[in-house]
Amino acid sequence: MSTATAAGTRPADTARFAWLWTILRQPGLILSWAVLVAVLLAAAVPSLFTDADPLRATGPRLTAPNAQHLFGTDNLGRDVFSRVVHGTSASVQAVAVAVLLGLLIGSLMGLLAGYFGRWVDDILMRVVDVLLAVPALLISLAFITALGFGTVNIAIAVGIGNVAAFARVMRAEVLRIRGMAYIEATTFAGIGRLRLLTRHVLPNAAGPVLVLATLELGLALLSISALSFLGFGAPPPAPEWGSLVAGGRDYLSAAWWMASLPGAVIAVTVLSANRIARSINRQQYVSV
Amino acid sequence: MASYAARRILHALLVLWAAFTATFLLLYALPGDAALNKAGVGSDGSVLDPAQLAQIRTQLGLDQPLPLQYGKALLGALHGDFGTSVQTGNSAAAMYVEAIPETLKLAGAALVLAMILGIAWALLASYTRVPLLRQALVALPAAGVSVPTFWIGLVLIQFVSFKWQLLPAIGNEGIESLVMPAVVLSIPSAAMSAQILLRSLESTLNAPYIEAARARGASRARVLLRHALQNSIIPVITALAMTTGHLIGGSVVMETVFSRSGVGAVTVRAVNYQDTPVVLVAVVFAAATFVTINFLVDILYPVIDPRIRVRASRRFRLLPARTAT
Amino acid sequence: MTWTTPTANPRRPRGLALAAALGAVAIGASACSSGTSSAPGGGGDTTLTIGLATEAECWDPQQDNFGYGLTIGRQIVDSLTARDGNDLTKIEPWLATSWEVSPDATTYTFKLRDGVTFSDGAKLDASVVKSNFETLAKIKGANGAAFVAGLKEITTPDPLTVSIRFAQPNAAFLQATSNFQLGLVSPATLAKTPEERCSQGVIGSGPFVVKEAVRNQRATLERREDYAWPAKVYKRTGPAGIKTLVFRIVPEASVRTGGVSSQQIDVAQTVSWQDGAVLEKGANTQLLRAVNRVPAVSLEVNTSRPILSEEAVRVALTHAIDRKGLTETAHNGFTVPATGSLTAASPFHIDQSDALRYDPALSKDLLEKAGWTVGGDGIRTKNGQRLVITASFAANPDNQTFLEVIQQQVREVGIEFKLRPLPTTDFNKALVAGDYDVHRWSGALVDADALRILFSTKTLNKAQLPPDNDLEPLLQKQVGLADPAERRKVIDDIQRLLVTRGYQIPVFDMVNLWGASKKVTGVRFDDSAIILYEAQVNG
Repeated sequence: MSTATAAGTRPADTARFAWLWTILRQPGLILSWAVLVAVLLAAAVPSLFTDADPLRATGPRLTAPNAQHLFGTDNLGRDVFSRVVHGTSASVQAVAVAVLLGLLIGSLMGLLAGYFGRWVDDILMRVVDVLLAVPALLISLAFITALGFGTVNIAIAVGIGNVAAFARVMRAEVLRIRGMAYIEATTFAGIGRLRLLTRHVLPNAAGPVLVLATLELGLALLSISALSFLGFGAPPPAPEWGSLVAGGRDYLSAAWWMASLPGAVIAVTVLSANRIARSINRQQYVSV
Repeated sequence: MASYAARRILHALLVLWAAFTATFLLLYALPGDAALNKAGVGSDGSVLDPAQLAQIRTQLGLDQPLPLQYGKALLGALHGDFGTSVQTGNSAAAMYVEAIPETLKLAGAALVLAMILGIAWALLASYTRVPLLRQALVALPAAGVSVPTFWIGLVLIQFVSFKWQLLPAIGNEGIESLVMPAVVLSIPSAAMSAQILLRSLESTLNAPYIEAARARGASRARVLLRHALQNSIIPVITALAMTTGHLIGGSVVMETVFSRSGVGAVTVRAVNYQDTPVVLVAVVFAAATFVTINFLVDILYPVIDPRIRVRASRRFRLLPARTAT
Repeated sequence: MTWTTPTANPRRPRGLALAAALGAVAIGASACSSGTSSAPGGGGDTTLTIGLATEAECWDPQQDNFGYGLTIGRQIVDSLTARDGNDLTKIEPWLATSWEVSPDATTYTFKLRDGVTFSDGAKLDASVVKSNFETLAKIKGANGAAFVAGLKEITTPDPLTVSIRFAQPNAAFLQATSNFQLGLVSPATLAKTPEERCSQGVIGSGPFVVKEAVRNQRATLERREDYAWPAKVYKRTGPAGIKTLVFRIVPEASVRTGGVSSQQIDVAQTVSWQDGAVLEKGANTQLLRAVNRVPAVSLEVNTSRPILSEEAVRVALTHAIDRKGLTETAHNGFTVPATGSLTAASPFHIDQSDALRYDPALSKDLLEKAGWTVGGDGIRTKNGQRLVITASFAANPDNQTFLEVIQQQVREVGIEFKLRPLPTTDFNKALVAGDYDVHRWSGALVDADALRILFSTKTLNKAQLPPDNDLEPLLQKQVGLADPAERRKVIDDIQRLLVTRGYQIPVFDMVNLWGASKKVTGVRFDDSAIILYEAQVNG
């Protein structure tokens, strides 16, 4: 992984191989992208990775990882790797719901607050203050109390917990852009507010919000797993990753792989998302 | 200064009121039915008829119009009365307050650990010159925030407690039972503060006055500790203050893993039983903690770093500190 | 049940080396209970630490829904009668020395034992028994209230005689008096509101007294040195074998098991099926089985649903389940494949293994004849309708697992079995509303009257039967028969009807697994309640 100090002298001879140099310089980043692409592929086409049935016994119960069962088998003889692969889409969907919900509501709040300022800003930012004052996990728990258990409800609950972060970033960006000279100039030029918003403010603010969204991908995955662990995600037949870890934990001493390997998949995915967020961030010059 | 403090206090109270109101509306508009939950179906066939259910609803005040329920609840909350727990029939606030000291111990220990570990790690990474080692040290905090803490906790128990029998796996008694949960709980916060401090150190170390100090012949260690750290610590303290709430959130998970009592255990049970009064207390308490700590930190900034003007402090915050639970 | 006597000197824990290194001050009473063990034979200052899975909602065995009465509650309250561990139909004296039942099973007269005191010093007499039952009957939703439903009058001819009269026959009452739900509490407890009893706990006359209780953390019980009225079913007389019981709440199953293996706790509740085998083989651990005597864990069938109103479908489902395979796969062979409506350990059990045999060919045949033909995806259809049965259940991994196995099994005969996990509240709601195809259930009464409560249209009506069904008259008849043999015959008929008509689909007999250190002997179970009166820790 690269750091600021690794900014060595670049071979100046060929600009043609610049991209290659970038890749070689950042093997971690490439790996992270590879992981994310693999996860998305697994979510879309699980059969690419495994043809074992995730719902039926395909081997003896509780076999340790081997060539046939990469992640071993679970207490019912089902292939754990296959369960992870088939659980990907549920996890990805839950994470997507959580992040999109936070992104949409939060960005809208930040946009309105930053754009209209004054009392709109005051009210919306007080709401954000409240959301910030309560730990995201507790907000989620309150929502779960209200909505009931289940993966979708968990995802919504986690999404609400994300709103504040998005609202703050969006508002800060809007304020920054609004303060820029050229926007003031366009205002004078009589360009409509809506047009100003869609043509200038939104595209400029997209970058930092995107960085945050990438970062939130990993955090949402962790939060969803934690809530599954606490027993609030009713596991469907092809469970998402969090419930796989949660369900396997009773077998830690007898079959370490049941909880550990899905746990490792979560960790690697979160790590990759964070790595990518940081790399985008470095290009965007935004402190996250 | 005094008027600034007064405004901050007013703001804090406003936040608390809003947290209470939002949670109240959320919980009392819920589809679940506390009455049915309390005494719906006994395992021995004691099914309540609608009349009995209605009676329990009346008893719990669930049949009154929402504004009236809200008014009563708010008035009660001002006196520290959040209603009675659906599970036990006890005062919800008392049930929660009773559990606070244990969680305070855990969260407090974790906060101190996070600070020490985070700062030590960042300094170590900044001090290290061997490129590979340095890269590893810089990269590891990222891994620290990527692993589910409940998983780390369960694995740690298997080894430290069951295999090597060094520390107890369960309970609240003694300092030794605090070690593992506090360490695990501190990991995300420690990793986060290490990352922030590293970044902050990086930019500080490039500042001209650091160059000047070096030119005067100060050792690397001295530059790092005396000059750079002092000027880089503010964002870390801000982030840790923001993260206190998350430690309370994280204790929910840690108390389950390590069989500890505390507000986390109370909260999980409350959610399981749709014990709305207790959930309400939990949210308001977390908000109160957060608001208090941030108020103190805001007041403390000028003390730590005179360069910071009071009015600027609200704008000074970085992104909300977000750690995984 | 027999327990092996401990052989090897158990490995001592290496102690809290790290804690010592840290210079920790208070080591507390907990982490290592084995440190206080004394010589075999009890007495002494022995402490037993028990890891419980969950904190009870309510600290009152009369009210609580399972948790408290099965564990802590059973140690602190005594009942009028006790069940014989071997011959379950036999009821033995405890706080009652003798009793009489009227021929119509409406009146029960108990002679009380003299000299029994509650731990607060109050004396047990007829009036205390009277107010216990009268109070309980009025507590809405209390678990024990069902046993005294229909209570008409209680009289106390003399201080040691109490006569309990019911409005209708109640043949199950004698069995019920041995349950912890009818365990007696002191007048001081009766003076409290039900809510206060729940939150503060109760005072009983049992061999142990609660000294300290911290919600979600632990309860410490001390034995009563003046205890002298154990039931006849125990070999022991006088005070309990262990001085201090520490019940701790340990939510994680893996931590409970590891705690027993590493000797941080002595006894662990609800060990996972996989860890059961580990503890059974362990050098210093043992596995205790609490065999349930209540109705088998079953799928209760909603006969008012279009698909399940067909008897052929219900019976086909019964024969499509490989119960042996299920218990092996889902429970590591620790539970018992159901052989009847009631568990094999129930005193009223009749063997119906033939009616419950795994016979997919028969299932297919039945469905075929009923017009359900296999469609493209292997699921049967009739008139364009798919053969889909949805199982509703309280969401927890254990329920999920065995239902997933059924899902796999019945697919072979062309039934699509959908799972509908629900949080407790929603599950309760669905039950009250009859909103289910089948749901997972097991009863809690040891007496066969459980079947009336489960299936009568006047009570739970699990099968959602119409009022004029063939089962109802039998259910009402048995409760009025005081003659055991006559009653038995009717109960046999009820069980046959339930299974052959597919109103109830028994799946397995529940066995609760408890883990324990090998040093621990003398643990007893009554149904799934643990009894620690005779327990000992041998050094």
